[in-house]
Order: sequence, then C-alpha cells, then structure tokens
Amino acid sequence: MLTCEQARERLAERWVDGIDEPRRMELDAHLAGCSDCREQAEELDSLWHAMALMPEEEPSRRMRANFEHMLDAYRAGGGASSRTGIVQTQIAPGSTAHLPRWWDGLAALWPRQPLVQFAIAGAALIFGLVSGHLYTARQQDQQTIAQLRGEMNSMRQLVALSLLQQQSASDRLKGVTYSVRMEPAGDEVLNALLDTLREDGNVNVRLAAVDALRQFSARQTVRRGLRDAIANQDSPLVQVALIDWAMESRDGGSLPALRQLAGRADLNPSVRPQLERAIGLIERH
Amino acid sequence: MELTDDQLMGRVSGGEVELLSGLFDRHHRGLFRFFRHLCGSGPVAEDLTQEVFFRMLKFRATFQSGARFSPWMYQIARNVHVDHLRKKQNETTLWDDRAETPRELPDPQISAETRLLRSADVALLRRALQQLPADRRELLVLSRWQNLKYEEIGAILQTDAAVIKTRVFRAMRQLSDTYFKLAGRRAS
Repeated sequence: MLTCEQARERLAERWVDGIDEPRRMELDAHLAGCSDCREQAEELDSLWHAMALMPEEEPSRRMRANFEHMLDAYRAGGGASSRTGIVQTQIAPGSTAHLPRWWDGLAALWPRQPLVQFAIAGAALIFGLVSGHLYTARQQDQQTIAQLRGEMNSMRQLVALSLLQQQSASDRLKGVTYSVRMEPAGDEVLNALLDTLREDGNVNVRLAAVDALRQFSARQTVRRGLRDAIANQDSPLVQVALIDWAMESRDGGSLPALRQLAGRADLNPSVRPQLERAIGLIERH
Repeated sequence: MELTDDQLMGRVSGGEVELLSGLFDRHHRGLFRFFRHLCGSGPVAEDLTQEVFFRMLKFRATFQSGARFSPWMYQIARNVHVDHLRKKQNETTLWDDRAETPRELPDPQISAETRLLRSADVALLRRALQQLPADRRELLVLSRWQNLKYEEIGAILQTDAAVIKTRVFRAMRQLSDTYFKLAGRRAS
C-alpha cells in the first residue's frame, strides 16, 4: 500500500512520464481509500489538463527574416544595423512689431522750452532703457523655451522613429506607444506609423499602430492610410480594429474598402458580423 | 539521412554556422512558447528566442562533441531569461500593459457562454502562472508545455529526476492555490 507521500510522487509521475498498469492500480487503490489525496488529485489533475487547453500563440513571420539577418550579419563579421531617421527641427520665427502712426499728432504737443524738452528726453531715455531691458530679457526667455521645446520634440521623434525601425517586436511596440505621446506628432512619425501598419510582420505591433493612428485620424493622410489598410490586412484582429475605427468615426470614405473586404472569400467568419454592422451603420449615417 | 540536433550543432560548432538555420526551424517555436509562458508576452518571447540563437552562435565553441543539444539549448534559454528579468528590474516602463496583452479572436464554433467561461479561466490561469516564483513557473513550463520528461528536465537543471518530480508536484499545488484564490474559491 502506498503512503500519501508516495501517492503524490506517483501522481506527478503520471502527469509527465506516464505510469504502467500495476503502478496505476496501486495509485488508484490509495486514492480510493484516502479522501485528502483523492480530493487533491482531482483538483490538480483537472488543472493539469486545463493547462493544455491554453491557446498557443505562434511567433510572427518576421522572426525568420530577423534570424536570417542576424546570421548574415554574424557571418559577415558585423552587427545588425538599424536605420534611424533624421528629423529637422523648425523654430517658429518671432513676431514683428510696428510703429504707431499717431506720431505726427504727438509732435504738435511737443513743448518749446529747452529745459522741459531736456527733462522729457531724460525721462524717455530712462524709460526706454528700463523697458528695453525688460522686453529683451523676456523675449530671450521665450526664445530659449521655444528652442528647448523644439529640441525635446525632435528628440522624442528621433526615439520613436528609431524604435519603430528596430528588429525587436517589443521595441517596435514601444516605438508605437511612444509616438502616441508626442503632441503634436510630426508627419514623419505618422508616416512611420502608417508604414508599420502596412508592413510590420507582428500582429500586436500592427494593432498598436491602429490604436495610435486612430488618435490622429482627423488628418487626411492618416484617414487615407487607415482606409487603405482595411482591405489589405490579413489578420482578423487588425481587420476588426480597423472596422471598429471606421464605425466609430462614421467614415464614409471607408465604405469601398469595407465592401471590398466583405467580398473576400478568405474573410474570417468572426469578422463578418462586425463588418456588416459597420457597413450598415455608415450607410445609414 | 537527416542529421540529429546534436550532429547539427556539432557542425555549427565546427564552423558551419549556416547549419544553424536547421536548428532554428526545429526549435524556434518551442523556444518561443517557452518564453511566452514564462514572460506572458509574445513580442518579448520573440526577442528572447532570437537572443538564444544569437548566443548559440556566439558561444558555439562551448558545445562539446558528443554532448546533447537540448539541455545545452535550454541552459542558454534559462540564462537569457535570467538576464531579461534582471534587465526588467532595472528599467522604467515606457509603455502601458495594454501592449503586452495580445487580443485573442473568439472561435465562432464555441458558444458565447463557454467562450466567456473559457477565456476567463485561461486569463486567470495565466495570471496565476505569472504569480508563481520564476523557478517554479519554469518547471511547469518545461514539464507541461515543452513536453520534456523528468530525466530531460533533470539534465537541464542538473538535478536528479526524482527531485524534479517532487518540485513539479509542489509547483502544481502552489499554482492550484493561487488559481483558486484568484477565482475567489479559496480564502487568501
């Protein structure tokens, strides 16, 4: 007769290595007589089987290409390189000032006595010096702040673009998320996001790109890019994300692409109900 | 005749690095799933898998003629995972967890109710697994999802198979406790 300790060990053996008939019968005999072990065995057995039901994710197709790239770079004796974009910062020019046109009227009021003229000139000189100093200092501060803001934005764009072009999918995900935090996002970043949506091999990265681009869909280029992507995406997850966008924004321009998608023979059955709902909703709008 | 993993790696070690492609074809999915269960993130799992193959190239000379490939590969994978955990501890997250969670498309063949129950259970099981200590999680991943026998796990962890068996049982018990606590069916 097995002890409880031996029964637990045999249970673990059954999960992984399997046990032969006599050993199984010994285990069953113990479990029949020990309610604690039986209860535990039922619980752990069901969990062990449930673990096998967890869906297995497949690696992206891009992984193979990255591997080949790494192998080539290794054979060539060099490291993998990444392309980085160069972003130019434009600082807005300062505002222009204009002179008052009522200068002639003031001249008529000008006193004739030299002493008064001298006093007024002196006061004007002091006033000019003080206000000139204050104005210049403030303008310099504003220029410095504008310059720093520009540099910061340029740096953020550079980081986002660089991340979007990395081989690593998680880095590209970071790039997408980082680009969303930029206000305002530059055209170069938006184009990189659209490229990512079109070409990235990883579904998660493309999904993140859709989420990021939705925030900028007021821009014509972004709307056009999202519409184009509807009919060209193969992943049902990305298709659903794009359909959701078209439906929420009631984007009439998406209708041709949505209809084209509906006509595809390889369309995933889970996507079709949402797609038909979106087409109906946009048509009624 | 097709070369075995051990023979292929032996030749890679001898300088025929292009033969690593064959090993990539055979093992990248398994490694990806190993990391996917350990880290809970697909993109991270891809990066770590890539890193394993890079280190196989870099340290190919450490694969000795006559050695077994699988334990050697998993030794590298474990080191890559440890380095990843260390790096993760030191870095500040740039993005939110949303990007880490892949969305799963519902299977139209399954009823909505079953789907809801199943997805809730799977999510709970994933959470429970992520809450286990890293060494126990690793044991369960090797034994349940990598389909390795206790002898093979013992070779990877350089421990006796009987010890591994006991540890797997303990890890399962802890997983079960955590899972049912998260499900609200057991007191914390």
